[in-house]
Amino acid sequence: MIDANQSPQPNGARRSRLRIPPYAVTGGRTRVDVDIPFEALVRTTPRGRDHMQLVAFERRDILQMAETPIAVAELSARLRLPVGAIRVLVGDLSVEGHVQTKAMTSNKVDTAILERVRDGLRRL
Amino acid sequence: MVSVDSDSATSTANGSETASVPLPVKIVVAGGYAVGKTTFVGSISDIDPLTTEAALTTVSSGVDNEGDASAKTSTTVAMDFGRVGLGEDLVLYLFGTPGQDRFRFMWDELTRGAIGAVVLLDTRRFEDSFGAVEYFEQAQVPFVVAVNAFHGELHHSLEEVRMGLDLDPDVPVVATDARSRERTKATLLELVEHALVRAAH
Repeated sequence: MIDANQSPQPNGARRSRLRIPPYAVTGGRTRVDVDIPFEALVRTTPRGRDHMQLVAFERRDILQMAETPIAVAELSARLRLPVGAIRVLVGDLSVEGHVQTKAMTSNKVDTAILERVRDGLRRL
Repeated sequence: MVSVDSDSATSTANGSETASVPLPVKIVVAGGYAVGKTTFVGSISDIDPLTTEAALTTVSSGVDNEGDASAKTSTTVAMDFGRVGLGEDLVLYLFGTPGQDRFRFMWDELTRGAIGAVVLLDTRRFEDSFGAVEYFEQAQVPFVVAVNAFHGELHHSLEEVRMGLDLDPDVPVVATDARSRERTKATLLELVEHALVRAAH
């Protein structure tokens, strides 16, 4: 079973509606990326690294911070932006192939993962 | 719908990229004002708890309001959270969220994909956790009630807490101390064990 998910293809045509002009922060959209969980880990792709100098403001901040995996909520806290705005920005960066995200895909956490969490906590 | 897509084509192309990213899991820590949520999170977190804000209608709205600027609101709720690395391939996030009913909109969001919830309780203010308990019961989110023993004192026995909250018999009620890493760890383990039992049914 695959619990983690990959970010989508940069050229996924069906997601092109997510694109926004580079000068807008979130373009007033608040809903489309609601499915990126707060704890989703974001990491900059090699493509994102190559494009870092070509993007501005918050998007560049995200690409820099996500050179090592960082959660959506952490980006929100450290960049002092509401989590909803981070979601939109990460969603767009993901569509463009500049970042990848990783999170649980199923609503219920399965037994194997629960056991890993339990064992991990015990080792603390 | 970006992050929930499971696209086999991209996993082939980028598999090596996310393979080294740990899997994030989360536990919700609910409780009333000043009950010790942030202390609880901070006692076990690898980082000092951070604060993030979520806007009310941004999260709660289920209708399509794209482009509708009037749907934006300045009403926000602050959440404190921490992070606990559990080996190289797993990282646990703890999200503290207010336990009152009016923050219910946050819980749909936070409990999605969560291991479960810890309802942190101050026995002098039972009523602060009624909303959270009721919500987690209805949403069938595994939860434990953890009585934060301020200064080592419980003002009610755990059995009184169980009765006062009208809990199902299988819901664990434990005493904890939000300041203590070991007690916090034990409380989280109680929840994970409870979730395991629930998952087996």
